[in-house]
Amino acid sequence: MIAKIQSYSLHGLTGVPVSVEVDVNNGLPAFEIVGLGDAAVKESKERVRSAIKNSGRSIPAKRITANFAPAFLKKSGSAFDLALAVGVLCATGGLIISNGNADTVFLGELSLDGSLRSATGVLPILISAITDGYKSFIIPKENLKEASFVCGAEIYAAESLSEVIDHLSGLKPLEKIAPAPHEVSPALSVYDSDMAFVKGQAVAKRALEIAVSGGHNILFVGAPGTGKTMLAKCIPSIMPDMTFEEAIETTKIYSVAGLLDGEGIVAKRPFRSPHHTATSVAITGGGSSLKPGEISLAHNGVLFLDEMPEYSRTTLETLRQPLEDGVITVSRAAGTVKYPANFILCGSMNPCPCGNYGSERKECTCTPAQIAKYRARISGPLLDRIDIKIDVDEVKYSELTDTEKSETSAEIRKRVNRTRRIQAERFKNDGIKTNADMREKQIVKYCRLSEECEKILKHAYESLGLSPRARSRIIKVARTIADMDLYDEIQPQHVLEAVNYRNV
Amino acid sequence: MKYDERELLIIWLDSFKEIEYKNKRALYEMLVGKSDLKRNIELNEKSVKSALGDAGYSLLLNSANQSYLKDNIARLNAAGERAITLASSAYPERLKETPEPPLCLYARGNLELLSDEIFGIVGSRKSLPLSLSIAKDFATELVGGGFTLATGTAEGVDAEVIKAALNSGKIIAVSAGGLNNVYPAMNAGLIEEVARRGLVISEYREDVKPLPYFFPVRNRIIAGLSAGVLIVSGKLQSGTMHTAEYCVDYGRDLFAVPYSVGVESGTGTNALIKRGACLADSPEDILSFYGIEKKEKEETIFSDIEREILAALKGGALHIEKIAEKTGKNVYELTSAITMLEIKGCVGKNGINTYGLIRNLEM
Repeated sequence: MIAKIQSYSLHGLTGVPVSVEVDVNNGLPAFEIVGLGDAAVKESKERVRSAIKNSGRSIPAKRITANFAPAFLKKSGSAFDLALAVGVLCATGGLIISNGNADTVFLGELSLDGSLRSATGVLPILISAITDGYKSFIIPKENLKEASFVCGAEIYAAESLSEVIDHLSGLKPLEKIAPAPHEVSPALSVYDSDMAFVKGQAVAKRALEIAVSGGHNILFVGAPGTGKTMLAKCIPSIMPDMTFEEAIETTKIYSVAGLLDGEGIVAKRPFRSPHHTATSVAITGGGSSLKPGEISLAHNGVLFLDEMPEYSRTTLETLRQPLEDGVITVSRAAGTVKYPANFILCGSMNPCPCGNYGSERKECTCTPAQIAKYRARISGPLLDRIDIKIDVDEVKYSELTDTEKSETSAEIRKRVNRTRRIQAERFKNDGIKTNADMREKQIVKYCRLSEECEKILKHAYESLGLSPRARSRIIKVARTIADMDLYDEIQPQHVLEAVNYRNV
Repeated sequence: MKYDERELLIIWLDSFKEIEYKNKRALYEMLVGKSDLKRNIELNEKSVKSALGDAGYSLLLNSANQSYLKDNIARLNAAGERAITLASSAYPERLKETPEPPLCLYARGNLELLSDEIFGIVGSRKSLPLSLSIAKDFATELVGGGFTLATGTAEGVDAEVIKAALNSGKIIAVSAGGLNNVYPAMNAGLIEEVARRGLVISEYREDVKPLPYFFPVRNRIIAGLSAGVLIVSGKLQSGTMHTAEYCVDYGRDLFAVPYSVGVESGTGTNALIKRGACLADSPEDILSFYGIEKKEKEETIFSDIEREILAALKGGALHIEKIAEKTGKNVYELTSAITMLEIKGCVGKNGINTYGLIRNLEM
């Protein structure tokens, strides 16, 4: 007798249906698995055999063949265990699935004792499978929280194989998962860092607010120990509240990467800070299993590159295309997948190799050539994508002991939310969200400069030696500052402030 | 490009790296004006040998032929350089009067600049950011007053002067090594631009690499070319101070920018002022010294907030938060006003978020 059981495999952020077919023949006892499985798939027969035995069932001494269809698709991971076990039981007559459970999709890894362990990518798989028309799912209990955000299907969470068997045979049906509310509860999005705890740094704080309001990438330049990291960590806390759609997008990525840790949904804006020894694959994603990289894990959040010039040149250069497009296409032998990667890039660097250039307290020991070489490690095209550059002050002792609290992140976030709404309204027909995303066409359309503003820009070129490439960056930032001030037209003071954040 | 016979003789003499400067001068006097070079050397065998030794004598004798000279000139032309010798009419008069004028200046660019009224601006490579703004301000105003500027090829003040004067083309950059070996290499692009719009000169042939001792020697050319020299910044022991010493030796007008107590990059200029250099804290100081009327510029109009900032900065450079304290304005209001003042050329950056006045303002 042949049993056909439905399961799903992951391809990037989408689920691909995989049916597990099990056939039992007479002959020497054997357990064969075919259908392009990786080592984890091949080993699943041992887990399945033990799990069945320890759930109080047995496998007859026959020749069992399992096929994972479609056979051309490479399959990896241990999430097919449950489907295989159910298939073996059905094929050997150990289990008869009741009519109501015919089209169920099974996900989950088995332990030798028969208990179910969590699977990666449950959320994206559920979403794809529901689109494909599947209505009934059995998943491991550990994935319950993320699955509860999916509606339009009957999802059951089981703790062990015997629970699944009892459910399928109708002996003891499982409880359906209660759907979670489709919103991000504010209680979930509490951040550890808060702007209220950043002392001094009025200039940097203002620049941060502008950067977040307009979605601009930002670069901090400052001596070691000036609090660049502290400032960067505050960025998620002042970013606009995550919408449910954004949260789901980010959760999908975390689910695929196996980083959910039992969390139902990623409600906090992610803050990723890969170390500078990270390889470009770790940053962009890839590897044999096409895992999402740091830039995708930072989707809808912040990618913080501390000591930016220390990253290898290739690593930094790989950021250019995702910064432009908001997605990364990863192509490896295993296939080609697309991951979203829309993040605010926040970099930090020292002003010079010794870190004391421009400092009031210590003398810089670097030669101008060393400084130029250090700064040249970040290429021009990459700098072109960073709209705001800001010098971070040294923290003074008096500021550290100052107990007066400054503005909290929540207060700043209110303003940011308002500025983002203005942009959403403006760009509703342009397919972009923020001022930073503007292309030449939109700049011409939405950033008309008065004669006076043009004059200021022209003078700025002449007397401050700006490069022509800085022009559109300055205009975009000026647009954001004008939005923050609730001006329809960009005013001279906005252009001037934007010039001050120029990236030289 | 044609050279007359005297010029050719100097170019020929200057091609021998082995021969010392004073011997070259003596040989020139000995050999000038006679038609047959080779015969002439033979005639003066004794004195040549006593100065250069046997090896030097045979070197000269073997090189005293047309093909050697032609080859030399061809290389010069290929490098796009023109040699201006002590015997050339284009050789700057002021430099010629100095005790040790270079025999030959190898030049790329606009040679007419050498007959202009030249003013030197130099400063140390490691200057405060504010010093760079000051250098730029002086350079712009002095070019406006009709001067052609002379400076080195280094980073810092030199580069700032070059950038300020480049658009007008009135800039002479003096390189320590040959013009194919501009030091530092990171300025090579800038110096190429000078060759295109202004003038670059060196007393060495195109491929000579600069050695450490070339730099102080180069500074005598800057001092020698100039009617006066402004020292923008410099420690007590620095190359900049060599230029100042040459100015004193050559009787050039010496100006120096003053610094407050404790600023290391200003100890040199303050010492010069102590010894009698003219204190220059505004370009007008120099222009009026030479009796140049400042061109009536349209008066800069300041807004209220800009005036407040300028008033706050009169006590010295301040951090932006201190300015905010003094004026009672928001940091971001100040940011735009300060940028405007930067554009107007009144304020410059002096460290992280710190700004200072770059000239004395009458308000």
